[in-house]
Amino acid sequence: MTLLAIDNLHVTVQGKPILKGLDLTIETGEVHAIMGPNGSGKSTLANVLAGRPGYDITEGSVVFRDAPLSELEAAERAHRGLFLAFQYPVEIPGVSNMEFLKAANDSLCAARNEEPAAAVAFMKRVRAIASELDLDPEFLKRGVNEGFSGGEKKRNEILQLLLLQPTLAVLDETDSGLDIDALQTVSEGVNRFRGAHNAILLITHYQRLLDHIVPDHVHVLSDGRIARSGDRHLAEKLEAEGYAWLAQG
Amino acid sequence: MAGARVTTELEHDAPDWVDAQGLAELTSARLASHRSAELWKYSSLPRASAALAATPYGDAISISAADELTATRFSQLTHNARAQVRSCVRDAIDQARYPLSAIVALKAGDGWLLETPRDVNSRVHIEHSKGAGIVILRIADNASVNLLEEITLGDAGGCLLLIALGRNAHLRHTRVSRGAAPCAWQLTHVTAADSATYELCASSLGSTLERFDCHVQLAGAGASARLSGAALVDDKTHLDQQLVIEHAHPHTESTTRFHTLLRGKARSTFNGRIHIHPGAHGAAASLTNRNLALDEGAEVNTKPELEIYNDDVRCSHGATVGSLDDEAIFYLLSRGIDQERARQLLCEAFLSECLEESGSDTARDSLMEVLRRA
Repeated sequence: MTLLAIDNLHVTVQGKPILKGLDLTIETGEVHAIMGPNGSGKSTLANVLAGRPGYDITEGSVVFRDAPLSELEAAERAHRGLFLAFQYPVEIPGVSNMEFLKAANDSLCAARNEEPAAAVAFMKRVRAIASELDLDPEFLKRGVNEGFSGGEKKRNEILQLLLLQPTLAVLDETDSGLDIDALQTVSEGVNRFRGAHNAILLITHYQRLLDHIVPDHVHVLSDGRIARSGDRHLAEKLEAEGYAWLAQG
Repeated sequence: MAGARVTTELEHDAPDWVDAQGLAELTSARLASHRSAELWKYSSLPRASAALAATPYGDAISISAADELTATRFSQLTHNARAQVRSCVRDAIDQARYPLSAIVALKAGDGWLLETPRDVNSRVHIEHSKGAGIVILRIADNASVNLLEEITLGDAGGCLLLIALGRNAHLRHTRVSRGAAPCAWQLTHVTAADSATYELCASSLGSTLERFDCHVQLAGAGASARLSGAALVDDKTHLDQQLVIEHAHPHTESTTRFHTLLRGKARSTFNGRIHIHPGAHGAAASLTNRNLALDEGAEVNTKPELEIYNDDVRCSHGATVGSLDDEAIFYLLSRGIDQERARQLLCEAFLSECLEESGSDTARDSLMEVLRRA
């Protein structure tokens, strides 16, 4: 089943064209990786999918689970099963991580007409996931991402991924700022999430993440559109030869 | 001028524990003085003094105190004790700085003297629901008191709360102001002796004209103060908070953190002045005031001040005025939390963050209830 269909997508940020005719289709059960040099539009793609203000679609369409994304507010996209793991997760002092997770979970349950988990059962579940990701339970009492190291912030994103169980997870440079051990932990978390009923879009600059999370499809983004698509071997070629060979065709 | 009329109206009724000097100070000239004009730049002093002068005589402060603490009306004190109260009121209050204090003292007619013996733990609840009142709280050496002060004025009112902390005494003061008065003025004046600690955890909702003056004198070596205040000021509501923290002795410390959230056309004024006297070697002081305006048309006046007459100190101060963080809102939205709930979470966070360290649920709950109502 097609989860996401992007057709000829053009996006401008502050009037400047960034995406210039991007096409991409993601089916359930698939893992896609998008690679590309800095400035190629990788993060713009992540942000426009999540509905960040300031990213304007000027042409083309994005359809997510049969609904045009442009008609959905950011929260509605999440209700429909879209999740963005942020490249730079925001610190929100004063809102405890647990309170935030409960609010997010309750919102998603309400949107799906499900009864939210009781507080005790919910906290138990969150603690179990935190422990799988080597996150100290004390983090759950602190403000959202407040004073977390770069690696802890990324693990907190994966905690949310595992808790909220979206249908499509967009991971924006989740590997940046991670040491080898943290990369391993985060990748294991993502692999646990991976399943036949969901899909993952990995956005990354480096091939190393793809050693841990093996993609079904690899795409190279260059100057706002997909320049090449292939299987995992394309990523290895990029690693060996850099992005320069793209320009030579 | 309102001040002149007040003086003649009140003079013949002055109880004997009020310093007659206070009356003399209360002249139209004083109310209109340059210093008052600066201290009352954003709140109308003539309006406040007229409103307080029009309140009925007799105090309406109710006190409930634990057994260890003695509570006596001024009128029941011996002649000598009354003389002591008189000098206490006179010495503690800078009449020139706090020109409304004489009106409030006179209007109160009677007052409360609360005293603890040494070495006890005690608690007291003060409720100020109308009119003018005056309370003196004396905490003896090594005693520790938990004070809950609730201000629920429905009409104009004022209160003087004079606190004296003995050596190594401790006061935890939770102050909850949730009135809807046309004019409310309060002065909390604290003197802390050697190694005494004063902790203030204040929450306020503002009113038509609300002014809170808090004056802390760290008057003994090693005395310290931790002041935190969170306020939610709504449309067409006014709150003016004026703090003075004086470091008069060596190794005194103070931490001050006030957060104000403004909705609609709210007006908030904050002035925090740290004064380090020449003898206060090794003093440490920090002061932060943050303001969050949710709507266009809110007015914030904030002024942190440092006055330092000593090189051997550590001081910092800062003030900010801003709006909700768009990045934080987007983060919450991206997790499915709707716009309204996201904003509410951030507002709650802003206010609780400031009260977090003091851990006062009473102060926090009072604000959260109003925040969630709207």
